[in-house]
Amino acid sequence: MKAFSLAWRNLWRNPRRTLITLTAMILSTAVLIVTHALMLGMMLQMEHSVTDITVGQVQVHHGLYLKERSLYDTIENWEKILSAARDSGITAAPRAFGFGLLSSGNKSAGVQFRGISPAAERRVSDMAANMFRGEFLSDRPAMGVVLGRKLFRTLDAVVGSTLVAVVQAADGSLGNELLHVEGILKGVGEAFDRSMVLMHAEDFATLFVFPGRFHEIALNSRGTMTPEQVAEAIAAAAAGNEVKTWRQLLPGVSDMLNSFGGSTAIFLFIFFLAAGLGVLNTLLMATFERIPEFGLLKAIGTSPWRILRDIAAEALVLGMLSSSIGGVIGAAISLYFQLYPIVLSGFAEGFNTSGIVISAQWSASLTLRGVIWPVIIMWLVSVLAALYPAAKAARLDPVRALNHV
Amino acid sequence: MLIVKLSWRSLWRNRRRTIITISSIALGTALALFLISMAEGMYNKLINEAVRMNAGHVTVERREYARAPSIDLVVPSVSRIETIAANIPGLETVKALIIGQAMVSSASGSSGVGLAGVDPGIEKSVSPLARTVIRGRYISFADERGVMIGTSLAERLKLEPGMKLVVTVNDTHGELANEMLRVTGIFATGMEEADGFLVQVPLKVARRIFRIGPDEATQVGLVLSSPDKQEQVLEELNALLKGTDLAALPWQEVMPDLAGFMAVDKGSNYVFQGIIIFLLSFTILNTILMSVLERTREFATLLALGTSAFLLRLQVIIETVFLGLLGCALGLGLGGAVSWYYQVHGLDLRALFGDNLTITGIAVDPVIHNYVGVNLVLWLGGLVFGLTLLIGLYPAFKSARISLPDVLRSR
Repeated sequence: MKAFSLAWRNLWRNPRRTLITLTAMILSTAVLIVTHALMLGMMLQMEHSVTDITVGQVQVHHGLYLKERSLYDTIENWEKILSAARDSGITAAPRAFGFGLLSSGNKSAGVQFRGISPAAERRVSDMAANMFRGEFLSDRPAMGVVLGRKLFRTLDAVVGSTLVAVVQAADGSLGNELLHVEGILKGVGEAFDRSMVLMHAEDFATLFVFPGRFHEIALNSRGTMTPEQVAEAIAAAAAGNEVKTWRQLLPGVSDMLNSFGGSTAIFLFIFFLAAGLGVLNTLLMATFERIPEFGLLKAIGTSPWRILRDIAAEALVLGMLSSSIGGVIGAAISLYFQLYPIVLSGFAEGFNTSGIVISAQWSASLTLRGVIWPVIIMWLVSVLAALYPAAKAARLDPVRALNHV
Repeated sequence: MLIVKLSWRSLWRNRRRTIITISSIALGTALALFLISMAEGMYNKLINEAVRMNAGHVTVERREYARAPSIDLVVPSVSRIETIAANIPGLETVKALIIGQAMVSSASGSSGVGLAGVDPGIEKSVSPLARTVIRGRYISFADERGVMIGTSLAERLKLEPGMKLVVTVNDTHGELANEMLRVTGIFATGMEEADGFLVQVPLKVARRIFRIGPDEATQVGLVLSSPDKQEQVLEELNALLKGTDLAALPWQEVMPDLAGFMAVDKGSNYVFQGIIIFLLSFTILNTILMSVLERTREFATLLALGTSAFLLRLQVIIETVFLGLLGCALGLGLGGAVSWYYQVHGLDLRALFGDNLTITGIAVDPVIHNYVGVNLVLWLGGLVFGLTLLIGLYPAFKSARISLPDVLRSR
């Protein structure tokens, strides 16, 4: 303890030097924490843009559905899966798919009808908040549809247009309905934008004569669990069906995120290097200029080991002080950017590339690890940077150390 | 001149301090240069691949085409554009494209797609898509019924090379036309837009299907070897096309989505650049501040001997100029060399992250190439040097304002 109180006094013998080193370290720690939080925030935002807009973290299908896309490959025991999800606190949305032709005037397009439960969909995905025009489906079935971003152009439709749907129904008859456009979604992915038509599950059942059966259940824990944990939680209830995480469903998107993560890691490494070197240099200089002082200590009989110990204690005290202040400042700034995202561009809408939506709003993500690592690294750097010149001084002949410049 | 010499000598009187200061500036500059050139390299690559796969850096098309793309809005004479373009310096190639909407059907189903008629020879040398053929081969000029499809379309329609598919289009006469084609190859770019919804056929096949004349195309793209010339090329072309119903457009207007994405992504990159330059300037501030402030005794002696405050300040400023110049030159040299190395050889993310990083297609290339431009080196060098000087002003001013007796008495 004596070593520490001595170190504390020693530090304030030259307040200017101590303050310079202190600010350097505080700043570097804070910058590292903020940078880390911003990069992590960007990664998470990309991942969430994949899972939260339509896909969900995990999807359940009939074992053959993804391969065959047949109307008849529906999920068994879907009610059981939904209740298992509810018990684990996971949101779940059942979806039914069918192909057909949608036309408006003399324009027509082959589309995929998606029968959904609007209330469940609002909980699982952000689709409802991603409207380009008009409104999302209401909770009551009323033969309304929401169209994909590119489909409405193809059909030359606007909100309020009436469309004619022609499908092959499940019983082999020709399903035929008049639908009206309630809204248009923002861009969420090429396949979706080009061909997706959302409608109420009950309307879907009427159109396809196919009540109470679903092809897909999308599950999303909304950030509280990893996709693997979600898959694990419903595995028992979903037995007999195929359970896949979004990374298995969309390997291309997953690759893209991995590669983005790789380059982000390099960026982060460069930042750590830059901050570490800055602190290293400042501390080296601060300790080197004190070599004559160490010579004096040696001349009056202080052992080399004792000098080393004192310097290490000083560096430790300095490191603790600066990294805790820096940690608090960095965390506060990160938290600020987490609550108030940075607006990257005047464009209001985000952009979509290969199924990843790049949002124009960038928020940070503060984690415990993101604070602890910069703090530990700054400690290590400060102690190492101080010990090197100190070791040199401790070995030096006192007379030479006294005259050292 | 004496003062310059004096500053230089005084800099090297304490070699270690000078080296630490210079290395601070140099390493910071080098890291900043590396970081920024890496980001630049990633952007260049993205743009480069996109324009090569699509309609070039500069696209010539009918004026109305951008607003409502339609198959009957064609460039009447591709060969004329080619002749005009031949005189443009920095032109890599000219690619004529026919882009239309189509429906493809196989025994297992059908899907709406974008049908692109391309010149197979040119496409093979220019487009990254042709490099990602995973099964079969790329179409060639001789293929009368060849078609390239993407991997997810192939999966949906259960198609393999050699199998038949039927393309249905609305031709330029407004009639529904059917054509049976055979899958030549399957590509995997890793981009769902292409893999799931793009089919490519030789230009003459597209002309036959859509009933377009032999010298017509919907778009004529100019791929430039140096993108810096884009503005110039655009101006020249538009001057030549004046009075016709054709217009030359930059890729930013032809692909607004990509341009928007770049704007957003660049925004985030400016934030990182700002942070690293802030870090850099703070490191410079610290080392210079400390190296000057620890010399109070030396300055006090000089002042006591009768050096004027002006000369002392001048000396400190000249020292800072030396530090800034040396640090900058060293940093730019070091950072430039490392970045240049990776510009040529590429930084392979797979080697760094091992098997955790599995990547397919060109949408995500695991090899990053830096891009060091002259502009970048100049502005970064200027910025760091300017910052160093600015930072040096305060200690220079402070150097002559010391209380002589206090400083000289204490140790």
